[in-house]
Amino acid sequence: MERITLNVNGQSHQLNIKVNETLLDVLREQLGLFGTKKGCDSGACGACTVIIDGEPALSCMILAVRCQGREILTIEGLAPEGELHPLQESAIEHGAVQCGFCTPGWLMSAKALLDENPAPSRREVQAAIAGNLCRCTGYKQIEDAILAVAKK
Amino acid sequence: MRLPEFSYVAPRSLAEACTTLEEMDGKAAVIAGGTDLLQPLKEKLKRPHYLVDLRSIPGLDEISYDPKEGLTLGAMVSLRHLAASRVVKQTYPVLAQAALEVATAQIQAMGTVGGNLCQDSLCLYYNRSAASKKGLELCLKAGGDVCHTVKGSGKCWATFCSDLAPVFLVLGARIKIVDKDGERVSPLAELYSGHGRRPLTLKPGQVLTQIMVPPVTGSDGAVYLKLRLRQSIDYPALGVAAGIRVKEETQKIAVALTGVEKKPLLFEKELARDQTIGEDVIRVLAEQAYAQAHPLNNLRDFTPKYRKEMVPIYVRSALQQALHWGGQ
Amino acid sequence: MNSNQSFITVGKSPLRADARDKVRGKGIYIDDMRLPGMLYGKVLRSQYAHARILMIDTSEAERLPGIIGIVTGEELPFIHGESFPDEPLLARGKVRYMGEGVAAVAAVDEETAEKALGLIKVEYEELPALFDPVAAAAPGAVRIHEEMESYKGKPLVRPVKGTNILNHVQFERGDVNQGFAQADHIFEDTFTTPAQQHCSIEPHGSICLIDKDDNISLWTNNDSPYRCRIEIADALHIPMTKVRIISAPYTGGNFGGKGGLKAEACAIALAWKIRNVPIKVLYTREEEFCSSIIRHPSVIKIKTGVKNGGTILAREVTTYWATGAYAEKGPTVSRFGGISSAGPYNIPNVKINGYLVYTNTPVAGAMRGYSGPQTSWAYESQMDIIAAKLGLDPLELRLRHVYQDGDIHTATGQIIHAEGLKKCLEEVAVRMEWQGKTLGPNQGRGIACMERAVKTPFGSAAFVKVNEDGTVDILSSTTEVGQGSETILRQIVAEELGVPLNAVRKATPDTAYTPYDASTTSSRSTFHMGNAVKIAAADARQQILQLAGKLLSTDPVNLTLADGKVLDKENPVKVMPIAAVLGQSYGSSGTVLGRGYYFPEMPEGQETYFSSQVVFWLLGAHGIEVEVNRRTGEVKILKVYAAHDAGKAIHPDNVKGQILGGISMGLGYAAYENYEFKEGNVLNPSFLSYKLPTAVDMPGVVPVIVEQEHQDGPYGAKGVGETTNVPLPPALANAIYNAVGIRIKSLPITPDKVLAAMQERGEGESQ
Repeated sequence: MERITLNVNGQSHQLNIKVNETLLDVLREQLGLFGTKKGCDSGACGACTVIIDGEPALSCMILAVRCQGREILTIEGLAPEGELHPLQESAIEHGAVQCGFCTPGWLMSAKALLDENPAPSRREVQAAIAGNLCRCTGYKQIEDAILAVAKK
Repeated sequence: MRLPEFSYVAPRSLAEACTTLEEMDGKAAVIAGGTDLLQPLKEKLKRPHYLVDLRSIPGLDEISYDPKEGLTLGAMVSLRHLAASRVVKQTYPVLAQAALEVATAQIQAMGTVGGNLCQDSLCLYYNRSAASKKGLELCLKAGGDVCHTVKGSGKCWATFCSDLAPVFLVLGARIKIVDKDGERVSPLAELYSGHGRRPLTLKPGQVLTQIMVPPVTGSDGAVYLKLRLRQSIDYPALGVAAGIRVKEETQKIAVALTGVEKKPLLFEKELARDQTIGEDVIRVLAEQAYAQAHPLNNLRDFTPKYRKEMVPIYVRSALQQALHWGGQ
Repeated sequence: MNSNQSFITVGKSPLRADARDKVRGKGIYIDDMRLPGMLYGKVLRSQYAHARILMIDTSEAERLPGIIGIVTGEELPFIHGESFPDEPLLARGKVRYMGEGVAAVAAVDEETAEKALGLIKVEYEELPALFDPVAAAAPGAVRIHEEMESYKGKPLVRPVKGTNILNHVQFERGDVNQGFAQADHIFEDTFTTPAQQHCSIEPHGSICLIDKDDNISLWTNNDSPYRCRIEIADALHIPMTKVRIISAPYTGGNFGGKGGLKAEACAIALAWKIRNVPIKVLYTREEEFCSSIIRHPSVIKIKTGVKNGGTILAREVTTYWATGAYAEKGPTVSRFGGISSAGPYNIPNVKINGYLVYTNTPVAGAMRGYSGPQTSWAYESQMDIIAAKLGLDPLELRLRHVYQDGDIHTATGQIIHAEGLKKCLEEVAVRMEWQGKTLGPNQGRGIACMERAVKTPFGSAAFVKVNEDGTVDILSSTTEVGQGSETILRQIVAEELGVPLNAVRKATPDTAYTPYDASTTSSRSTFHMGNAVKIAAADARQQILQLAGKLLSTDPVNLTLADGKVLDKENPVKVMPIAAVLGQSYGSSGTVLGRGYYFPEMPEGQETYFSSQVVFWLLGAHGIEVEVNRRTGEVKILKVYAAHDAGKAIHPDNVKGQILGGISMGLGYAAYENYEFKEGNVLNPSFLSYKLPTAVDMPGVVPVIVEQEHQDGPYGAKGVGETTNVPLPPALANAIYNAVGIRIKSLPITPDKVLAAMQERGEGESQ
């Protein structure tokens, strides 16, 4: 067991973890943050995407022990409790949500994109979410939802 | 899938890292971005006793450019930073472009330049969980005695698929390898063993710390073309980099391939500086590449025949674009 | 019919209520559920495609600290299956595919369970295995189920004794030999299709708790709680009322894949032995690929006789469906395939033979399109082969033959109603400027259409509960798997009852409380459950108006409901909120319960093998424009035009969502996805090596909603989502033919295949 401090959604957590635990498992099992989803556990579907120090990351492919001292943002921290982030509003309005299992992941990818590039082209949006597999929507509504929030 | 048990070491210096790695004598694995390591760990294909983290070592993630020394990249520079770096885009935009061709935005943010160059080779018969290699005898790469790709060969034929390796090769990059006795600089090509089972020449205790690319001259040009089924996620089924490097009296035309052999392949031709690079040169390089590429049926996409057929087409195209970029 | 009627919410596209949970990461899926004392189960899976199990030694694994119990197939004398029960919960005696469950362990955590699997020893005696359905169907082939003759399937399943054929679908109308004799041209082609996986981003998962009296509670992401319940009860020989199925609040994608017993079977196997403690089994992605469910690989031989000028006289289709190791939904897939093998066309002489064949491969069953992708790949590709040979316009050839209202369907003999297929074809043709638009060099365009029967005849029931405060709960067992049924059912109830949409909720299915529904499959929910909730809402409305009539001293016929209030149509001053009606009628509070049951009543058709009638048809057409690179064989899709007949789109944005999502799944089947099998071993069981299209791979899509209203549909609606993927592959193949003159007959269509075909014709440019 290793004692670590994780900064998640602006809160600091003292945790006992095993060094072979992924960030995804620690978020879900220890912090009860179930919004980050386990779709493949192999780094290939993007459902577990979180933002670490402003960059999109696959929480199933990073050891929790390596995340000490870094700022982790999960879907639960995208907007204050009871409010919606503009990307979340837009996702609802554009019908970008069907089964919802990939939704938190692509929202985090989109947030990381817009923070870095507030006015992306459709092509840039596609590239940013190409690592987030969606089997329901065909992606168009997801792209529309993100572009609607982007600065024109 | 849970990760196997291991001890985790976060050394504070390179010396400490090298010593630890050497003491573990092959039982330790280096972790950089982790994107190429965690999956085989989860699949129980690799069982290192120790993971030695390079992230805790300061100074390995720097990018600098000097007109005399050229471009220097720390091994821990992420692909995302490589792609976004102003100095990289100004000097060697092909590196930024190639970094964006790797996997996905998330992997680009997590994966490193060093990790990409040191990535393990791939094979359909190897890259799946150990528990589920159903009915298949353990292959050479997994510690067994057979190769399912080339039966009876007694050799492992796993394919090397780094996107960045061919690009750095045509740019004439050198690498810095550090161990407890000091450091050594060598051409990038020397990193690759040509063995499927262990594609790198690094020995226990050795760490790749830097990649150095020579300074640019005005009429250099380089491109990277990637064949893949999907325009994201996929490894190259064939990757071709082409570059022209102009020196004082000569010019070097280089082509490098990935995804078709156990190591990246490099083909070079040196000409007088004022000599026009014509169809004859392009043809020779395309023919050489075609002759030496041996794509096998161990990757998911495209028949080997097709991938081989695409070699000269991609080489020609890459060379023509590089020449165009180089202002010729 | 209803088209001129003005609606409050039907035909609009209100925002989905579930989306608000889902975008915040608050949607609860099975993997997010935790029960007190819950154990974690894992399954040891077969290393062989076909082998006798000689010995299983679990002793070492049992000694591992943290292991609570281990169960093997020998301890579980049960077989299950929807229409042809043949599958054990865990393998018994022998294994029939690589990836079949052999033993299961329950432990205090996942890590321990995983570790224990490595300590179980199994000895096998390998048996010859069969992977190809044609070889497996041959007389004398090794038997995969020696005891097939003893299985008790439903009457419609017709096994061929002594073979691996577990269902022979056979049907003839007219005289094909005579038709072929009268034809001027005979076309004979063989088409093949590969396996495809649903790839719901959420894997299968279940939590099972069984008490000492065999009372079973199963929390699961199964798509159809009632179907699941009866399958479990029948398998375990217990009364079905001992089985309670509780749906997870949300299911992360389905596409037909979550209909059988997958993780359910594993969790039940463990919980049957380890009582009074909940046990959870969640599939890994690798198990999703190797051990859950796939689309049937198929070989389709199609022979068609055509007159000069293009009239189709006769068609004979023989299909081999590789159903894998167990029947699962194979019998119904092959049956639906049989109904539509000849295509949605008036052809006087038709002969169909379908062979559903056991093979030593992962189990095949229901998947979006449910036989449509295979059958249409053959008949729509051949339509263009015919058109090209005879110099006819492919659109024209289709329009001349497609069914229209009043025609008699060849396979079912019923008179066709609400057939919008011609309209779909015409809409696509107009959008893509079929007449007139000139394409560039190496560009081409193709069109394809399809039909598929909706599952008939099965019922759906619903309660509409009007609460004391005027809000409404829909109690219905339709599961929300992403398709949006929750919103559509709420719309129907809000419309019918006259309450605001946001006052209506849809309850999570639980067989203890929500009433019977056959299944959430086949695009049947909007039509069947839509009718059931509509009837239930009308019932509740009548009750409320009756109560209000008394309170307002008005004849209820003069009353109406709008915006949650009862109004007197002639005296607008008389207004009463529903809450007040209930409060004043029943003392301080009370509820009204509306009941609805819908079962399609079908007129008798002509007597055929397919004696049961089809209440509506799923219909659609795709058009595709491509550009082919002659040097590399790469095909760039310039645009997809997709028209689907929804009857009446209750939620048009949702229909468009179904079309766009279907296109990406159809594109995957057409150009990307494939199983790499090596003697029954799946070589690509991951999202790295099994290729779903990503956002950058999607072409531009023009979705078109066609509305050919159905007399029995709620507001005229039919289902639509099931087959929005179906016409894409043949439309793509036809476009490639149009561009460069090569015909691909096996899916997927990859650049290497296209280039090789061009080279074969001497057209490719090779080095």
